[in-house]
Amino acid sequence: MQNLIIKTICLFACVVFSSCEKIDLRSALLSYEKVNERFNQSMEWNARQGYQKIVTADNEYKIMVMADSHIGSTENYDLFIEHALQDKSLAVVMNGDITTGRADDYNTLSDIRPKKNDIESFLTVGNHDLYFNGWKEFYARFGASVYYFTVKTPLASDLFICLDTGSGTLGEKQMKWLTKLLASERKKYRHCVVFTHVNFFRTRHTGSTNPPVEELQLLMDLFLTYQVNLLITGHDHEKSVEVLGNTSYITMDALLDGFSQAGYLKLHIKDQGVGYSYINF
Amino acid sequence: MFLRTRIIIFLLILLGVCMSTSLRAQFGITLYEDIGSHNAVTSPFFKTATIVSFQYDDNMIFMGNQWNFSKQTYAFVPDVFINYTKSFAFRKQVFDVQAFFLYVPFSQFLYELDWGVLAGYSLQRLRFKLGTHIRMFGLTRAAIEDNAFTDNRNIFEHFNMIYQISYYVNRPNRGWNIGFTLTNIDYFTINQETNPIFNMQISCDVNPSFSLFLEGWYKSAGAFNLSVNPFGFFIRSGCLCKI
Repeated sequence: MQNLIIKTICLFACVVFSSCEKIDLRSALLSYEKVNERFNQSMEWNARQGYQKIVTADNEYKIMVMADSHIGSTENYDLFIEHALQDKSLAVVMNGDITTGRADDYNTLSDIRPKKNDIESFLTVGNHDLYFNGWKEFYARFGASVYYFTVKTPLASDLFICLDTGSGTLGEKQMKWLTKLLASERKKYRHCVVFTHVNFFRTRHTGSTNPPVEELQLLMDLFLTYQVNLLITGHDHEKSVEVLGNTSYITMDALLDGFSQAGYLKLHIKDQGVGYSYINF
Repeated sequence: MFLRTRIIIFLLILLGVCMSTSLRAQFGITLYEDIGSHNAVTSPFFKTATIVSFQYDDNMIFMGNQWNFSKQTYAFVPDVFINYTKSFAFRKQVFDVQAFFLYVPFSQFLYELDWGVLAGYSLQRLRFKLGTHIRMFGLTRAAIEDNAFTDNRNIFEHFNMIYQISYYVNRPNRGWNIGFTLTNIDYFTINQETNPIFNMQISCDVNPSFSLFLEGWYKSAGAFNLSVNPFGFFIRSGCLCKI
């Protein structure tokens, strides 16, 4: 009986490990670098480049957000950028799993990233971006994965925070940075939106991972205390909205080519609050 | 509310001790201390837990509470769990089914409630548990009153999977044992199924009614579909006393 059980476990492990060509087996067991190392590099980048401040003459503005494009192919990505330009969005946010992590795909993304003069774009990493030693490629081309940017309108200023959850955890350094940032800066801003690739809640049952419960508890407490308006995530590939107190926890549909519900999120930022709508192709 | 809960727990313990004078009943108490660290805290954490158990024939009730002294706020309100286990034999194999309830007040404004069921199967050296639970994150009364929230008071996760696979070097009747476990549950924590926990346990019976144990727990942030990082590690040491 015991031999049968051990054989079944071994067979299951073989099936799991050989089931997906997009998964880098090395990363699936242990990452190439720790999240703290990426955080340190991001802070070095931020110290050199500074945090971006966008100024707009409009009282209301739009920001487009997408995740899980998994470039390779770029059909939906191209449509997303086209929509953002047509809609005169102030910026686009690419919220992780933008590529498969391979150098060729980073080259493609680098070539088709919109020019700064056309529209501002903000990128952060997901787990797939880190596969195949992808962080080196990301950092060389796009820089920090942990940072914030602000938008100043004639009425007020808003705070947007991009976090690195590509390893399934923020790590103690990023957690400390986020806590300090919210404690010192949140009061100065009208609205606050946080972007993480990994979604927080298991609203459906997939193999995709969420932050460990202890980390989730601390983040929920921070978001409630500092009145974060929205947390925008991807990773799960299927839209969902959960609301607790003042904070809406939003998961987006994947932008992946060939995905039947492919889409993105449009943020409408007004004085009354941060609205959003899902746009599906 | 907490005073009332403590009185009920005290009365149940008293009832258990009184009934344990019967030959078919067994009363037990487990005390342990956790010392460790994880990514969500900047300094080491210390948790102290007490678990009382009462067994009558094939029925067992466990009740436990845990104080997390390193919590920045709200450290004086303990986590609480209650577990009912029923053991039975089927075709000469031993199975058990468990129903449990867990309450974790993790801040002044938020708490977690879990409830679910588990089925267990034990061989001489291998033990398995498989089950499901519902998780609810909710706002406390203080949060609702302070902010006048009329809705959006909780978030549910339905039917998450829970599992535990253990291998022991010795059979259960030996005076010492070493075990290895892969799971996503602990007494006061239920992780998502994709966030596994590994532990190694050493236990030693000092005498038939008193044993000591030492455990090392490693938590991983994700598995298989993530660029996996360690999340935390802690040491648990404690004792089990049977009366």
